[in-house]
Amino acid sequence: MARMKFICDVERCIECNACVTACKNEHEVPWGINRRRVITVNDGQVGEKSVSVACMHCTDAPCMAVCPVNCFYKTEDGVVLHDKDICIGCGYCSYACPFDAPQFPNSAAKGPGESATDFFVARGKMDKCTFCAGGPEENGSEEEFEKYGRNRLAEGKLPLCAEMCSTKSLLAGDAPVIVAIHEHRIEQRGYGDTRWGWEVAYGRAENEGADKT
Amino acid sequence: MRTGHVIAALILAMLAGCGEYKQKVDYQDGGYQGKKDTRMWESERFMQDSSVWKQMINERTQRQNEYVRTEPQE
Repeated sequence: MARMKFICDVERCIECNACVTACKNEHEVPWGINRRRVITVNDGQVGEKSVSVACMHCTDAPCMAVCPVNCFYKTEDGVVLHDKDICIGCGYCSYACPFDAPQFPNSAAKGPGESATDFFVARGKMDKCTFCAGGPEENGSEEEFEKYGRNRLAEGKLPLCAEMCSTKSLLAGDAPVIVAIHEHRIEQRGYGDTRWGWEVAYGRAENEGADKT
Repeated sequence: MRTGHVIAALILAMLAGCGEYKQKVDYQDGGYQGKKDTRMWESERFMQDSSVWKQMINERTQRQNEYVRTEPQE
């Protein structure tokens, strides 16, 4: 079965934030929540690098491990989703996630100087990137859209952020297929492999190997 | 006699405090508690056939590869 993943090619990302805008528009994500964002390292300096980050739908997802109410599940295609009817908004998943993917609608971080990790306030139910796969409601239903956004995967489409990326920096799809595309690019560039953490995320089948660090 | 019973009960009660209990909580593997989700291909569009869905997704994934449209000049 497919194993859906994102790859962001930092050599191509130009920090246009179109993926962020497309995501917000497609799913009508409320103000204050960003399912996807672009992070730039050494901004303004020669050689700056940008990377588009959202839920990476981890093979061994830490959010699933720490959730006290077990509201997370993984689809057969490797997409990590959750049931908002079960979520209690405790924020454990946010602490556990290395990508800061879980978002909370009532977070206190509303203005400059306020920490985005101020968890000592009332929060709503967690919201995150669904790989445009909706949630545990009927596929394509209004209820699913209200809670989780559009279910493009059930329409045979890929996440909009990747499909509309102008430089094709952000790739989405079945891991072996996007890995092949990315490897072909690296060959064409001709200056070697600059990937790190590759084997863990994309290099083997889900049930293969015990080391999941 | 009554004092002896009280002392014996007291000794037993104090000895109970010396008991050793397991401090470590056993890890329980949690299972998903929410609603069951339908699979992506479980619709009329894909006629419940996962291979049709997968083929469509893979074709769409290849559209992200500009090298299949044109090979760069050597």
